[in-house]
Amino acid sequence: MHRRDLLRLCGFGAAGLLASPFTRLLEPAHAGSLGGARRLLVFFTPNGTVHRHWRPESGMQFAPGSILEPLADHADDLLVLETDFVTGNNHEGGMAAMLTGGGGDSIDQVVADAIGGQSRFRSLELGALTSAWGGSSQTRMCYRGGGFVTPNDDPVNAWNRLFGDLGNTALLDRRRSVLDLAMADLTKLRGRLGAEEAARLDLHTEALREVERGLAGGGTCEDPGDLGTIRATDNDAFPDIVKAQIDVAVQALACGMTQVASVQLSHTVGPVVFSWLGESEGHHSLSHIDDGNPTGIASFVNCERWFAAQFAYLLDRLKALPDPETGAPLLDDTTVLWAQELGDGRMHECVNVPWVIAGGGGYFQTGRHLDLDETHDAVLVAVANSLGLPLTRFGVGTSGPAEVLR
Amino acid sequence: MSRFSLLFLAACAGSAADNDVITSQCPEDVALFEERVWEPVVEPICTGCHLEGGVARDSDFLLDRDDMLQNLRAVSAMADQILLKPTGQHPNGHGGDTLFGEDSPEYAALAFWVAWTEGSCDVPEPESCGDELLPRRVRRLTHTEYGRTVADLLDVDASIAAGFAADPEVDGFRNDAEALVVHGLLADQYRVAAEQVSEMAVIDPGCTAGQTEAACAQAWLEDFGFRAFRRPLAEDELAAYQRFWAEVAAADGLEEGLRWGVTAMLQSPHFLYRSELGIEANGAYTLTDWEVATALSYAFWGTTPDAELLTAAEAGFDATTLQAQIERLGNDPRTLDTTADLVEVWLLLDRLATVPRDGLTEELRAAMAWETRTLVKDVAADDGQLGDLLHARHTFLDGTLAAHYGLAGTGRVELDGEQYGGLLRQGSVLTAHARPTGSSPVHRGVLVRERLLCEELPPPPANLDTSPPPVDPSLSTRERYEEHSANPECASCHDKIDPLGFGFEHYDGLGRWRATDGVHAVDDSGSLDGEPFVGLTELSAALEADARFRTCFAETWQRHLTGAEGCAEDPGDVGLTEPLFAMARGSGFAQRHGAPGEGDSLAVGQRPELSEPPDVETPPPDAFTLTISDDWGAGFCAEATVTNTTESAWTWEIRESADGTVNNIWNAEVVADGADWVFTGVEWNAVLEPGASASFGFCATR
Repeated sequence: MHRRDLLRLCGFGAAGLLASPFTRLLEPAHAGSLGGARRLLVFFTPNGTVHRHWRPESGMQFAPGSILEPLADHADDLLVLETDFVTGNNHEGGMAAMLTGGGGDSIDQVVADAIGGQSRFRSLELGALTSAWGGSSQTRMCYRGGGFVTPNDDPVNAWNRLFGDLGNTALLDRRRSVLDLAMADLTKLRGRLGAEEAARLDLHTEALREVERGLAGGGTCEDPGDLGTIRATDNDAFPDIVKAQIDVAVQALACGMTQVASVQLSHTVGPVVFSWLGESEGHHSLSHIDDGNPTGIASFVNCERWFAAQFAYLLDRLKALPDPETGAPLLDDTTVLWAQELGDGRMHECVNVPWVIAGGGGYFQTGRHLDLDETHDAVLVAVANSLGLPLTRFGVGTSGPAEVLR
Repeated sequence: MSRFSLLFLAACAGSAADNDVITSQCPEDVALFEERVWEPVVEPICTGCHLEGGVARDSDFLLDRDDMLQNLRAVSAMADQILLKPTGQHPNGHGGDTLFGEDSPEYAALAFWVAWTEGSCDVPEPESCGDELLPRRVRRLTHTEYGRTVADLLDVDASIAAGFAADPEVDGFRNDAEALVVHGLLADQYRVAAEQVSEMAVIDPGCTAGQTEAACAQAWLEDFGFRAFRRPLAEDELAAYQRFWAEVAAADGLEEGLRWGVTAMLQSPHFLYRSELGIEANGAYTLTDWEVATALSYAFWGTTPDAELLTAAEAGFDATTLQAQIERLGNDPRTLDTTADLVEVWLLLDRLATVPRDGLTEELRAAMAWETRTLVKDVAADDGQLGDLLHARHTFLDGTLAAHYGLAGTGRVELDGEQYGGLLRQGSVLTAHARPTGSSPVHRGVLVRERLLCEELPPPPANLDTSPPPVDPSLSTRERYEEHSANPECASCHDKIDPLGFGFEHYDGLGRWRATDGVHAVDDSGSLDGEPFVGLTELSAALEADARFRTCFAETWQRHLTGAEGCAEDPGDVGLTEPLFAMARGSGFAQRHGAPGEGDSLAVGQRPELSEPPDVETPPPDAFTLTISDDWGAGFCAEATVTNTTESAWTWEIRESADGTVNNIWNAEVVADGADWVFTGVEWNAVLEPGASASFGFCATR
């Protein structure tokens, strides 16, 4: 097998990279009723779960020691789901299908294309230790135009991009002139290329436009200070990186700098060692511990509980910061999706994949645990519908929105 | 969708034919099948599952390593599905996921056999290596190349690129020319880096008495642009950067203007991409001398051409001067560094920097990386061959690493070749390929299979319990894995992995020799495709004698140099740098194939005639230029630049006499108005600040 060919199968490279993916998905008829959420935040953790330590009891009771217990204070605001993927299996298949529904652009990018056009950043992709193995179907979850959308693994860089040089208009003008020069050179170079190569430079053109828009100013915020120093490739700094990236994402939403953000923790097969919890085995290895090894299972649950605690922090922040327009908590009008790529990690299968939804502008009926009959594309359709997008199906799926979520 | 339908129809037609009990008109040529179908695709890919006892044992497609005629018949009987299943096209799916695409060699091999089964008895010529030219293209600098290039241009720290967004990894390579693009995040990181670099650099234009500031700046920008773009700037290019300099200089002075000139050039595609576009003659493309110089420099040194190479390119290469430059580059110590880079890519040693492990300090990681780089460079400097690297009886240690291994001495240290010595016993290799808690026959077996033999393994099938064996102190690592793989579903794949990895069992997860694995004696016997060996000395010898290993090394060089998938012939026990020299001297090095561009307006290869530049105070008079870049009578393509020469912002609009119908336009919009075309800007260039320019292009038919 050649991974290059897999990339091609995924449509990487060549023509059509810039065709708007959104238009073909919009089908005016039969759309379910739509919600009014105005922001999307996707949170990701890898390598599946052990269901008996994850599944809520008798409704929404999170047992002591269970994976979701750190979210107990938020239980009423959560929709805890188990869903089978419409397609895709195994680590890579699950990672690729998770947000794409098995084909095309990922849901965050589709939403960003629909509602992010006026923001300084169409979308913000943030990561924690996603890139040590380069970009691949293991390490990437966001797709647009047939290619990966690369997350920024460095929270300090992301923060400076948002809040650095606020208000220095002379500097911003000069940067615009530089982009104009680059754009002029790019136009000329493009003219010398055949169609296939020219399509790659079109991505560059779009990138320069993104940069230019990103220079546009500070949104609705005062300068919130700086983040300090964080070693963005250091395993042991993972807790600092994750907290900082959550801060960046929530602050960017609160300042109206973007409407769509994602925070990706590690990646499928990710080898992060939770050394700060006293663990010494990598997360992926722990995810494969069988039930005959209770010590190993306890270690894995320990790590998973830490993930849940980070998601709880994310919700805490979304409740603490006000919507710049309404003054209500940000969470009220934000759809939050905690997505995973595998169900039972030991089995390498995308069945009963543990997802959690929060917020959603009143679209979702929260405070429930559901084992869905619908495949996960129906959840992605519902997520889009909660944000006012009249999607009727998504990816390779044919389901409408999962009405049971409402 | 359409492709799927067609294939599906073809499959249905095939099934219908099967019902008529066709027997192939072509002979059951077992040798042909084995050479052209079994070895390239069925054995390496399908036998992972489709064997007696394998995961897919209950499917209709069952193979047997010992019975080639059965295999031939099994594949022939599957002719209606065998192209659909592994490419993910079959409506019922494929339990083993999608394994290759329709433009892969695997697909071609199977398609050949399907045609054979259906009675087409043509045997296509096997593809031979080295015939295929690379496409004409632009190659974005890798992050490593970017760092070294700015370091060489401006004498700054090359680590400026360390934080750039990670590039896609294709087959373990991060220099894949097709996959390297500039996306929004990276463009912004380029912006930040360019601003930081120009701030750090010492910029001294060395203006002479009597020279205007503008003339001095132009000379400096012309020289820097020449080095940054790896060719002379065209007149209009230099004029554009000069205008920007003048704009900044008017506010902040000469030097600040130059800094911003550098900032801008480092964000230009002419800097960020290496041009391999060439000049067309009779449908073929030959790289310009500038492009040849650039290709040589990045191949041998991984960085931008030095002054001597640019001077040689400017004089024009002939066979003698080109050969002299290849010798000069190849005998420079920087080529040894490139060889060390190659080995790091080959063995995936970049993972050493991040792999989590108890006791693996930053110091130790650095010492291990240094050990391997130094050894590779040392062997290459002695004109050593691949075998010399595998069997090296010396290594290079600092105090940290010597203490870690429990060896005496630092610097060059002679070894016994039993506990330590040779490429496979390098701490870097053993540490980068292990589990966080110890050795791993699986990781190390995969390293040998995928990286040293260049044989890709399919991913574990879905719905298979892949739990690693629990740590049972009563068993050794080897015993735990052996027990685990006794499961026939696992064994079909792990038979290709674990027996290779067992050979490494004398080494723990940090590359230290161990007499025992816990309380257990170490058994490091293994086998390479059925041939038994004991330990790494014998595994190294088996690899050295294996054509796959040597070919894999040559293929890795080829990929590292070209950024594109290709193939290589078995080079024999080859000198470490020989594939590099062979490629540079090869007849295809400066040849490219490919589609012509839409226009070819940029003058390359000659320095432009320059007029005296206008000084800061005088804005350039040209508000609009339009250049026909390509004209074929019935139509033409043109490039245009509009500049705001006024003192205030301008929402530009240009009216030109229409000359046909515009059917393709970029970076602007156009409407027809009577006999005129009216051009306006698009979102990002509609409004021009004073002095700013917008460029756009279009093609029209008359």
